[in-house]
Amino acid sequence: MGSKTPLVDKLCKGPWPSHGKELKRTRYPILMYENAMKEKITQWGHGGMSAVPGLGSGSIARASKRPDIIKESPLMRVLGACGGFYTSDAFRKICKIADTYGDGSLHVHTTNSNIEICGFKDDEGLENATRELNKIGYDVGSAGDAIRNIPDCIGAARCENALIDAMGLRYFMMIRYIDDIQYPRFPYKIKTKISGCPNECSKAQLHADVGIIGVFRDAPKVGQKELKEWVDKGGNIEDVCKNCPSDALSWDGARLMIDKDACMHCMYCINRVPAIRPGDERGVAITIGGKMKGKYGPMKGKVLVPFIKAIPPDYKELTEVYDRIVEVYDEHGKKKERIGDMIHRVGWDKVLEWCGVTPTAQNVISPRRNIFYHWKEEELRR
Amino acid sequence: MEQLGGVGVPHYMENLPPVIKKNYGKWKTHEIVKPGVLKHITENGEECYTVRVGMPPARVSTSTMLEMCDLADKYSGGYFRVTQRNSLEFVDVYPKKIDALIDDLDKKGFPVGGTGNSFHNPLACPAWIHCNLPATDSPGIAKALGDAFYTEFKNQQLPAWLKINIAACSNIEEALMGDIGIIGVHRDIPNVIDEDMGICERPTVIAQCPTGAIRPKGKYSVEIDPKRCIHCGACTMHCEAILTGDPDTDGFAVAVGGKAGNTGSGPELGRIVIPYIPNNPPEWKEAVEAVTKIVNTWKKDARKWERIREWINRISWEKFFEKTGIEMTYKHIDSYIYGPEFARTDLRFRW
Repeated sequence: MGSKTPLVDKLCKGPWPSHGKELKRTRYPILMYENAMKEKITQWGHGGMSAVPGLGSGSIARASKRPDIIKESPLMRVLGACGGFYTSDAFRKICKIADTYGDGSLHVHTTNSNIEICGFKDDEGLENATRELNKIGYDVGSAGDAIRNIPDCIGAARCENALIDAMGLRYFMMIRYIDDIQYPRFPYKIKTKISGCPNECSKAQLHADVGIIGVFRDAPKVGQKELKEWVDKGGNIEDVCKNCPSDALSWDGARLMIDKDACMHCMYCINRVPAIRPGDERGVAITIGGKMKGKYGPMKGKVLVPFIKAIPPDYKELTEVYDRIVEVYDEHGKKKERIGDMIHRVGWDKVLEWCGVTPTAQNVISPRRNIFYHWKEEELRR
Repeated sequence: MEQLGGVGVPHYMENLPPVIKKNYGKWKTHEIVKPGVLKHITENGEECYTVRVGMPPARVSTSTMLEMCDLADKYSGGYFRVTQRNSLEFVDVYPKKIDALIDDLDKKGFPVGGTGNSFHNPLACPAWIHCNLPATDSPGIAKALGDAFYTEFKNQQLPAWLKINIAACSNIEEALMGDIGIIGVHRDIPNVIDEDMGICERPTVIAQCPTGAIRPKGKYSVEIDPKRCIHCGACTMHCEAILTGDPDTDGFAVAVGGKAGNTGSGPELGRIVIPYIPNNPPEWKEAVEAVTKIVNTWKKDARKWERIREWINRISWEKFFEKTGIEMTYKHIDSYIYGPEFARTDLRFRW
């Protein structure tokens, strides 16, 4: 008599950590996965946003196409900690909650930095688990047409390139918008991400409806003495100069000159050479409309505000813009239409106008080539 | 009874190791001691060692996480973090115990690596484990690729870093942002269950379709025009009565050249270079073969520090197809409204 799950067993081989092995260590109905591989199609039925009783969001329903194996298997989204930092004590408690109320399998960090606790039995379990999570300082949410979890990069905590305090800003925004994260009320989801610098570790521009990215405006600072030491040790500065995307660097054998007007602050030289540091005039850029799914397919985020100050503790300028974006989307977005699709439908000029942004050359790739234009009513004179 | 929720997240200073709490915002530089081990140095010379661990795709058991908690207690004062690519980092590891930690992880079957110019932890969605929409099985493919690029994960011999993201349907998760992305492809016409259509909002469903292929049928239901359907899955996402997925025609596409950073040519979404490969669980030989082919060509041809997108920008798409041996077909050209944008408008060809 062979194993009941020959295909999952095959997945358990090989050097890379196996999810098959992990699933077998839990109470997850492994036959669902086995049958999916056998029949080459998923065995799960429709899901969708369901709510933790007493809250507006926080869990996802999941029906089954194989009621003989399992009837349903809802999961719960726990908002991950800032910067992904956990203490073992807190995580043990999360594991205990997952073991008590769920089937013991976790998705440790979804793409939006949530922890998913899978395989709940009933609504009561969801409610009790939420209560216990609240006691240890964690919370649920980030499902349905709400502002989603706001993931950040590690920021100033352990990164020399951080231009803003990403973790601090994330904590501020999570506390400020927690009601909108837990009570869905928008046309569709609003994903927000925070990156500390244009290296974009959290992919804020490409993957988020609203991306908040740390930027600097003046020229990078060069420690000429340290740079000379780095070159003497074998650093290849000519290669760095050659590969600068804006051709702004020149090296005369002793000093590095940076053409301030040519520099486009892409972080290339800063990443390569430890002696070059970002400048001091720092703030954030805000992009909107980045997305992967939705009606008109994947889109990159568009620059709404190229530079704005982000000053703790209240981040006044930043939150004003953020609130405005959310209002504009709430008012003009159609049902189940992402911000990117809305921009596609109404036009970039309208969105800039609605958001109260005076256009600059930083908002566009180039001016229009099309002569057709939708003149306003007061501009039409007979 | 107390009200639920409204708590938010723990304060951001609460979970930080002491050395990070003390030196918050005062970091000067970092270096990679050896693959998987990072050393961050502060302005006044304090050091913080980090060990990065590859994790299983999509699901992890509480038992494994509890073991990781024990390791964190033993080696890093109880602190660890989950990165943006879902690998696990033990932060502030005692320098003398790094090798012991790596040994312990090895015994449990968790590789240390994924830093610098290596294959980074692959990202995958749950797909067949726990989802209704997938056309392919991301965790299975991630596991197969993890096995195939295991040595590349543990050493740093690639020209630049290699990030592979896998998504099982047209929601794409992060697949177009990786150097190589794998995206599930449905090829069937979504199946409308007429008697269930009462639970869906018909106007929302009809408005979702980018090509206007959905029209009302009868009093409650809708029908889909097969000639107009581009298999985007937008309708299936918002209506429980429209189902998609067919074991015979489901498969996946391979995209290359996504990147998020602003260096080089700036942020770019990936481009689809292999339009369709059928599913073949649980080994996923075709997926591994296709990705290995692209990676090997890149490895041989690229300059140091050149990511796949920058390599392609330098050698051009015609040379990319020539060097990888992938055949260019009609299926590489956008058949939707974006098609004309991708038509060539210069004559600077490379033969």
